[in-house]
Amino acid sequence: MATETAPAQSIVSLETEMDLARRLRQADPSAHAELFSRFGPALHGFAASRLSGDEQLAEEIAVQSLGAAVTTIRRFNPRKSNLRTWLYGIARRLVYVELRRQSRRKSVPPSAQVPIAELPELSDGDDMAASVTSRLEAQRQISELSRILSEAEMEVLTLHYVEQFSLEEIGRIMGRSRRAIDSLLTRARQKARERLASNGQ
Amino acid sequence: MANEHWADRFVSLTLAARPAPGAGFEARALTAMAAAHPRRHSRLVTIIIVAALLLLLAACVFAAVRYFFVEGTLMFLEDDGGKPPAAPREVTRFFSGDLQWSESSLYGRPRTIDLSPDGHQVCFHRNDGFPPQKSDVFVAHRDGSDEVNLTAALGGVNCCPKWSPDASMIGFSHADPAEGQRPCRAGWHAWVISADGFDAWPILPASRGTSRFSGWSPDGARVLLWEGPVPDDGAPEGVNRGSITTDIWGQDIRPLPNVGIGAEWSPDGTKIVSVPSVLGHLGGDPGMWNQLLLTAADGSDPEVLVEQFVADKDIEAHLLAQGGTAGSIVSWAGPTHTVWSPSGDKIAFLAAMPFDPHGPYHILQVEVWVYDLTTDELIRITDDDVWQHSLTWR
Repeated sequence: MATETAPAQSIVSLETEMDLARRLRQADPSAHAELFSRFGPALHGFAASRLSGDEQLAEEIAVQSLGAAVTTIRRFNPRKSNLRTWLYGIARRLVYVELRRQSRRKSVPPSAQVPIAELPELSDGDDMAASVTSRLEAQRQISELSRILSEAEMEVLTLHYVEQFSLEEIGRIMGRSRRAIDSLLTRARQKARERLASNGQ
Repeated sequence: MANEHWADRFVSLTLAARPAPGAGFEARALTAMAAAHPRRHSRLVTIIIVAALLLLLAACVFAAVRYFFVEGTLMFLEDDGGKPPAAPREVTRFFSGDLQWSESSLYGRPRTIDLSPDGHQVCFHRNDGFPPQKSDVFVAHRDGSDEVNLTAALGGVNCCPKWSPDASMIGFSHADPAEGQRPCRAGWHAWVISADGFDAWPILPASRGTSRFSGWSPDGARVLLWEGPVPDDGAPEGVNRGSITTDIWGQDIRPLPNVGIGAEWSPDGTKIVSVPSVLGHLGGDPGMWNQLLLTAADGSDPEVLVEQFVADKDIEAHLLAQGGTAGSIVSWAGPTHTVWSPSGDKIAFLAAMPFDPHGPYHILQVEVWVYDLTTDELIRITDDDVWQHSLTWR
């Protein structure tokens, strides 16, 4: 079982983050590369999970999150949160803006209507079909799970088990108290356990 | 173990469901981050724009407050009571500020003062004693600094300067008294001097007798003078011939019936206000009526706004014995000066209260009054035992 409280941020990582934040304020190009390498793919994955696997939107959200982080880096306060938590908070807000936008639409967004044949090449041609099939199957099961869980429950499960955030950090990202997150996670865990345990048998 | 099973399954499914980012993801992200940096100069521009807007807002608020609540600057000088003032106190009061003077000698301070049309300068006169043998007209910054003596080369006694509407000229009164002689005995003459002091000339020919400068027409083309007696050692004091208007060269002279001393054109040029004193009676008592009189610009349609009867047999006997006639006498103790508010709906003037029963020069107290033409309300601005004098309202 995953730990429910993440270890305190080490002094080394805090200094590293403060140094990265300082270099970002100074518009150091090397800081952009470091920010991307440390958080870009993770933010992309998180956004993809929250956007039902829409790769193009996930990439857009990740790019926007990194850009917004650079723009507002002066607001980052290392005493209040670490850089990763702060970045996920930005990404989460952008995801919610997108989800609200999608909820107002009558049809599926064009980015989600891309035929499999036009999906970007992931690897060698021989592996592509297997990879896509595997991903679609995983998406189907996650989609089934999301039907019995609320958006907040899915989000808290993802942040806790996949992204490995502590309850306090999830609280900062989602703007809720630790107790509320604990309660939310308990309900989500119960529903997910029943669903996934039965599927797995 | 069951817990680990479902959680691991959730993690593996979630990760498997995630698509890999496209080939251009990193390049797009780096480009977005490079473009996202706030530019310092744009921030500076923002600060400048915000500061300019704040300044503009403050200027608008100031203008609005001034327009609605401050009717220009009404300024006057004050002295302690007494004859002559024992300790002149050059305190100025007006609606929005103070004017301070550094001089402290008994007669070293301004005796009359006039704010320039733009409010940044003052002109005033300062004399050397009482009665004055030497008095000059000065211009200075509003705070009294950098004063320039305009009439140093003219000599004699020069007093009561008034700025022309375009501030290019100053009208004043000039006299050349003999040793120990009072200026009014020598005879006043209205003069004009350029604001730089280079040109000065008497407005009327000497043959026309004495005259005192009262004010400028709003367009600056004409001046308003008070004509006194023809110079003569035996001329009666206080007996005057009345007001006239003329151009600054004394060519186009027009008498102004009804208009008394202390006359001023209204800002729109349609009215003239003055403070004549006319002989009369109240009940059985002889004396004078001191009036605040409003007329049309040609002196017609006189309207007494307020008047006060002053019973004083000594004054009447004194003036009549010297040739004065009812309606032609200036009271030394009566209202002496008028100024219009910039909007033209109020008139400020000086009036002595009470008169000294022992003689016309023994004025104990002069107060500042304002008459509101829109409400016919008479407002007493000062109420103390100091001697107010010299009004200017810009």
